[in-house]
Order: sequence, then C-alpha cells, then structure tokens
Amino acid sequence: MSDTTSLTTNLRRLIDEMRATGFSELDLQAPRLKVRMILGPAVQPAVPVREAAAGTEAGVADEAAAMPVSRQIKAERVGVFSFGRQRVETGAAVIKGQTLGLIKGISIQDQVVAPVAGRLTAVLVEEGQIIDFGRPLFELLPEA
Amino acid sequence: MFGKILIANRGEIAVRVIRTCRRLGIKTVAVFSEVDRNALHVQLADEAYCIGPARPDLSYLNIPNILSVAHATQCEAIHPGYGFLSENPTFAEIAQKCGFVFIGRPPGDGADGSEVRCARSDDPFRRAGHAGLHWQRRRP
Repeated sequence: MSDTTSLTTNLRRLIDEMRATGFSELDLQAPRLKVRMILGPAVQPAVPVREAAAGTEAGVADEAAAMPVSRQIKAERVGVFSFGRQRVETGAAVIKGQTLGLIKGISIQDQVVAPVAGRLTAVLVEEGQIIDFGRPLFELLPEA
Repeated sequence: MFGKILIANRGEIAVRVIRTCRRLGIKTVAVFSEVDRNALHVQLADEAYCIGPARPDLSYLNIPNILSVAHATQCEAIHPGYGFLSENPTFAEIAQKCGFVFIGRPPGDGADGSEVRCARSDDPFRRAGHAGLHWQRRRP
C-alpha cells in the first residue's frame, strides 16, 4: 500500500471514529504533516475534542500516534473570561502552571493554567466572553 | 415584566417555560449538561450554556455554575422548573441573595409556620397556566 493510500485510509478511520464518539474537531501536527479536521457545518466549540493519545485506540496510523499533537485547554468553570494583566497570544511559549486567563463566576474566580509546558498554537477565547463548561480556550503544543 | 430569565432545568418543563416566555416577550437562557447539547430546550432558548458533565449533581444541581450563567447573561430571574433545584431552599435563598427573583417556592415557604402567598395576582406564569408561580413570604 502506498503512503498516500495508507494516509487516506487512516484519515477515514479517524473520521469514522470521531463521528462515532461525537467529537467534531481534531488537530494533528508533525514536522512533515499537519492535519486539521472539523466535522459538520456548525461546530459547537464546547464539544469535547479528542486529546493526544485517544487516536491510537482506534488503530490510527503509527505516524499519527507518534506525532506531538496540540491539546486543548478547556474550561472547567462557567463565567466571564479575562486574560488578566497580560493577554497571551498565539505562538507564545508557556511554562507548566502558567496562568493564561481567569474565569470569573458569580462568586468564584478560577484560573486557567497551562497543564504542561509548550507553545500556544491557538487562542480560542476573547476578553469578556461568556464561557460555558468544556469550551476550548487554548490549543497548546506540548514541548517534545 | 422580566426582560430575561434563566431556566435551571431541562426537558418538557424547560420547553414549556421557554414557550410561555416567548409569548410574553421574555428572553430566555437555557442551561444544559454535555449530554443534552442537542436537546429541544437548548435549541428553543435565546441563549444556552453548558454547565457541566452528564451527572446531574455536576450540572443541573451545580448552583455556582447556574448562578454564574445567570449573572454573566444578566438575567433578572431564575425559574427552577420542577425537580432538580426547585425544592431546594438553599438554592432559592442564594439566588435571592445574589439579586435574582426566584420563580418558585421560596425558602421557608410555610414549613416554619410563616404564610406564603402569590406575589402578584396577575402573575404571567399563573395566567399561562404554569404551576411555578412567583411567591413571596409575608413577614409577620
């Protein structure tokens, strides 16, 4: 089987798996390959997105399993988002535990922190936006 | 009349409240758990926000998240529907202390001997045949 055929087959399997499990968005990044898939016409940002290791369970290509994959940082609280003192931008390097923003609830202010060190590949939230549970806020490419 | 209310429930009761509010020109905010993302009440409401995972104690019974949505969306009142938080006096009390009108049974609604009456004889929810009225406690 050629590389192209193998890749197509694996992508199809990945799409089938995403549909079966209700996931709507996936980012795969590697030195020689970058794949971004969004299923459906109206993607709900709060839909949970498959994380790095999950793709391997369905027998996805070996090359995909070995790639460093962006992981999404999702809201675990509900409230209004604020970047705080300084807005973080796409491409910024972050360290583990770094505060990326705040979610202000009616009586609780929750910090959004980087779970691992890496580089932000996307900022998916705006200052003052109402954040609901599970909404993706940032995409982070962990350090190799 | 309220401008916007939050419905802290799901299913038929939430749909009935939303439809009544539409007739009355009141904007509605629905809340939902992750498994109810495609539910009818989510589609019908003017706004809808996920408040937690499938487990009801982490979503429809999650008082901080429900009140945070009501606060962020500038709701004036909260309708609890029935079940879930509708019979929870703590929720009613906290909601009122946070400045929301609680469209349901208030804390201390007669269990302690005090008298409870309907706040308004022309209550729109009552006119609409809705069981959940806006009650207030008569101070002795």
